[in-house]
Amino acid sequence: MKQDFLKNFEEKGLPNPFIASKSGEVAITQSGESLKNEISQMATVIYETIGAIGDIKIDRIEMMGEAKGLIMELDETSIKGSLFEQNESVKLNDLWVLIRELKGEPVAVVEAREKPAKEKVKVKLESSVLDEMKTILKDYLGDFTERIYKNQLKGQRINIDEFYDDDARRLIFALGKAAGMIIGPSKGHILTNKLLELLK
Amino acid sequence: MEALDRISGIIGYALIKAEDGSVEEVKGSPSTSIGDLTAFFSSAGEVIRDSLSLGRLSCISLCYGAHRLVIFPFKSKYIGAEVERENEPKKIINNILSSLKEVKVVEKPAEKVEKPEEKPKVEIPRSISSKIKQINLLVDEFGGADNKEHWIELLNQGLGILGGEIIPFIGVIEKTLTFKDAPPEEKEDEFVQGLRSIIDFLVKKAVEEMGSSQARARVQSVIEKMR
Repeated sequence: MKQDFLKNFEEKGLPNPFIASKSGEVAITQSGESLKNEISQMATVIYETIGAIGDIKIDRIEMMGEAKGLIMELDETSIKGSLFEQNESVKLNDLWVLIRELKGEPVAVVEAREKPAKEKVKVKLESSVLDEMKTILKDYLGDFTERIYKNQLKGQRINIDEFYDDDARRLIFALGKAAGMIIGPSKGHILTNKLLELLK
Repeated sequence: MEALDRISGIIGYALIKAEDGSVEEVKGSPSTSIGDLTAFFSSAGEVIRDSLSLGRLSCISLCYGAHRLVIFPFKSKYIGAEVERENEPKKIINNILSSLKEVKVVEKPAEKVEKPEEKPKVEIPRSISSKIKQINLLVDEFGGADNKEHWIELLNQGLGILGGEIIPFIGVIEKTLTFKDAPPEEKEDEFVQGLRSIIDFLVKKAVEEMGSSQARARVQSVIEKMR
């Protein structure tokens, strides 16, 4: 089923489209079948590397070699990407459009049905949570609050109209880290915990 | 790698030895571990390159939040440059490589001999230039002759968390906060506010480190010099 789904994208012009889950499973079109193990290994390397770095949410990766290129969109559970031969006809922007389309397709639902236990449900939060965060921040950061808040919101690319629990967690850790540079790391840690309490 | 400090749009950078992945130099926002990201992903990139037969790697680009890290090989090293997400990796690499062409890098002994390229002076509004001057004077005054590095580090910290949109336009070059490119006119107020909060940050740190009366005296001395 996934192979047919990916084949559609291959026909649209996305070379060797694939979906690799964090657990190592790979869906790829028939033409890319011989690369299945290598793609699985690549996904493992990517997730292990991200795990080693910690709290940075990487959502897009490009690797350009002389012979081939690799572009990928990723989240906590899977990588959706394409492996292509380098030549002058390759239009990277067009490939990214297809990858975005691939990411947007309801394949995630297919995956969720296959492995319901492993999928984490995202919880949408009211934007009032952000106001509460700001109020707490003000107690610790005073006049620095507005800038720190604004910069971290932008830095973490938070969409306040589509604000989910994992966005909030990411924002809180970024705010705590930035605040720590002004008020010291231990107070920054206390602030982080206080902000995390808002999510309970 | 002072040549990178002069390139507009670069928020931070790291220089990694390709041989063992050790971080040789890192500069920029303290809230992102550019050094670790460059080291880990250059090494992961080599593994993936070999297993998928990508051929010689010309670039790895990672997007996170509003930023992009562009990693590419340079001699026996990897350079990781953090820029705003919208930037094109190829353009960034070409820009860096053409700037580095002007710079002679001597790899052994470890010392690097760098020849700054001549660039036309950047025109900046008075409201911004006076804040820049004030920041540089504060760093001089607080750091004195012996402790300047520490205050430059604090300045970089302050820029990283409070600078916001100003960061790609600004950099510490030869221990002086300098504009690398003219700021957009419509951003003048925003940039002035950003610089003001960096001044507040430095003064807060001074009070913590040397006590309020000493800090006040030094701030007073800067005010005198500004007149």
